Amino acid sequence: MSEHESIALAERFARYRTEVLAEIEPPGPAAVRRTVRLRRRRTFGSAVAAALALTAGPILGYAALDGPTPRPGPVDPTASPTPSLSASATVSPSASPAASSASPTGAAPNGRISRAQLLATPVSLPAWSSPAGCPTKDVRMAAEPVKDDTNALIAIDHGDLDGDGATETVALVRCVFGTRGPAQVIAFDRDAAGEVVTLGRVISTGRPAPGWLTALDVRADGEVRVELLDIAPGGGWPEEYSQRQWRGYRWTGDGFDQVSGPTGFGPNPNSADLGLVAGDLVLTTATDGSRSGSFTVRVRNDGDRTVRDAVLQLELPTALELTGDGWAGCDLNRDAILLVFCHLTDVESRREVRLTLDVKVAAGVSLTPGQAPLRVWPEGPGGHNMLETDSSDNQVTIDYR
Amino acid sequence: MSVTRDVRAGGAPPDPHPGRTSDGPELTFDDFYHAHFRGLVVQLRAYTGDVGQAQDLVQEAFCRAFARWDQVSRYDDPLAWTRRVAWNLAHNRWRRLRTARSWLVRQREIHVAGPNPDRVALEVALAALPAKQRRAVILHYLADMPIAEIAAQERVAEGTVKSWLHRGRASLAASLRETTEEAQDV
Repeated sequence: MSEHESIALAERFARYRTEVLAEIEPPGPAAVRRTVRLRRRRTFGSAVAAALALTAGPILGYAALDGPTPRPGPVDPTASPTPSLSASATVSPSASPAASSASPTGAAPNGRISRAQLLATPVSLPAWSSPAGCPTKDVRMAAEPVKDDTNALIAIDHGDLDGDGATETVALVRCVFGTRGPAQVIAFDRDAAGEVVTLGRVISTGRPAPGWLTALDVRADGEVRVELLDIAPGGGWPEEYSQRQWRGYRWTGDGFDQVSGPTGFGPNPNSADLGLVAGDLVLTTATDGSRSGSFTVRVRNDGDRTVRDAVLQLELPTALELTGDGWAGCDLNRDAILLVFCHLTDVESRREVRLTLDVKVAAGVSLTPGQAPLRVWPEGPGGHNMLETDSSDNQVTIDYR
Repeated sequence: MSVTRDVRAGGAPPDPHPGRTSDGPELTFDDFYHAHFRGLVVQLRAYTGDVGQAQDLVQEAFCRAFARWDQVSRYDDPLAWTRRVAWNLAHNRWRRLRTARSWLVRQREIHVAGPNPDRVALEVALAALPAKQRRAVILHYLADMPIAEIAAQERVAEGTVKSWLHRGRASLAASLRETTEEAQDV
């Protein structure tokens, strides 16, 4: 673009402004007062609101065109301090260049929906990721669900998400399944008829992460902040093992984009990758008629961090007696089977722990050849199972004869 | 309008009624309305292509400002708040209104029949711009906003605004050049 064109463009805009300015006839501040007063009156009751809705009939064209932007419904009295500027309230509306622009609709923009209102109103929800079985159409959310496949309202907050000067509502909703279930953060608003409408999904749980959404907070500037966990608690996984993040999202006009916070989770510090290899047990008979033998178990740490605690579980036949030093650090529970738990400590990254385990069968005791399952798993602080990132090599079966 | 600037550290607590101090005249809503209504309509008319719609949007923004005038009047820049609301209304409306494009084209056709081809050419050229470039160009030329303020309203980096402006201006100049040539050919 040449300098000449640059100047010409600026001049063109200047002429445009001058021309259009001259054509505009403002409806005036009195019309503003009238509109705002009408909206405030609606807070006094549905009868008043109904009456006003009738008188507002001729100027509903704007609302009909606009879809959800101007919202009727009670204006939140706390958000709107009432000025005492009513002296000029009776001034008649000034002439307007076009009928369609005579004044904005009398509908009050207010998407502030209370928790009680949201629980009492059938709403549509964005689709749940399968296999969640919660309904999404005409849903009545529950405060404390008592059965599975129920949409539970976990948390709620309010703020001006789209910067239009009005308030919208954001809710954290969980599709309850047992103590877990997927969750979504959903934005709600009111439409021109005062009905609750679903603006859209801010974020949902996903696979592999986030597995859990715990809290939300709408900031004064409209950013929706959501607290996420990488792994959902429950099923033996304590919440404190999960990683926590706050991420921020913002309305873009047709959806929500992340604008702050981390975009992903790193490896969970309470995860590990152990592997297990074991040899078969072959017993040999001694001169006194007893039989004895040994087998080796190797526990390998394929992960990047030292595993402080791990448990090796063996299900052995009760005919076996455990002998030798290899069983130090093991607890045994003799019942229908001989259940042994061996505690391993400090299995370093890329290293393995090798156990040589000796057993004996007393003279006169019979042992039918068979198979014994062995399993290993990592344990975290407090003795809960850590996340095993590759569980395909944590269990083996050995032959004994 | 902002009174906190006069509060000295360790001094008296802020006046709970800053608008009534003798520091300066209280910003009255009527003055504010009359000073800025038409300017905002010009911008949104350039953006939406329709004066009726622009006027509705701006009137609505002033309603929302009036509804919380106690707060808005104390902001450093009440105009920035109101302008942002008006533009956000237009922005959301733009996207939610599926028929916006065809409707806009219809408006253009009406204007083509109007008396001022220069202005029509500018509106047609603006309508051809991507929305972000169109907003940047209008805020720059018709709202006289510095890059930093446009960046703040659009919540993007200043470099992004510069890029929108650069591309927007180049496209405008190119299409206006074509229009001029066509006019000369006739």
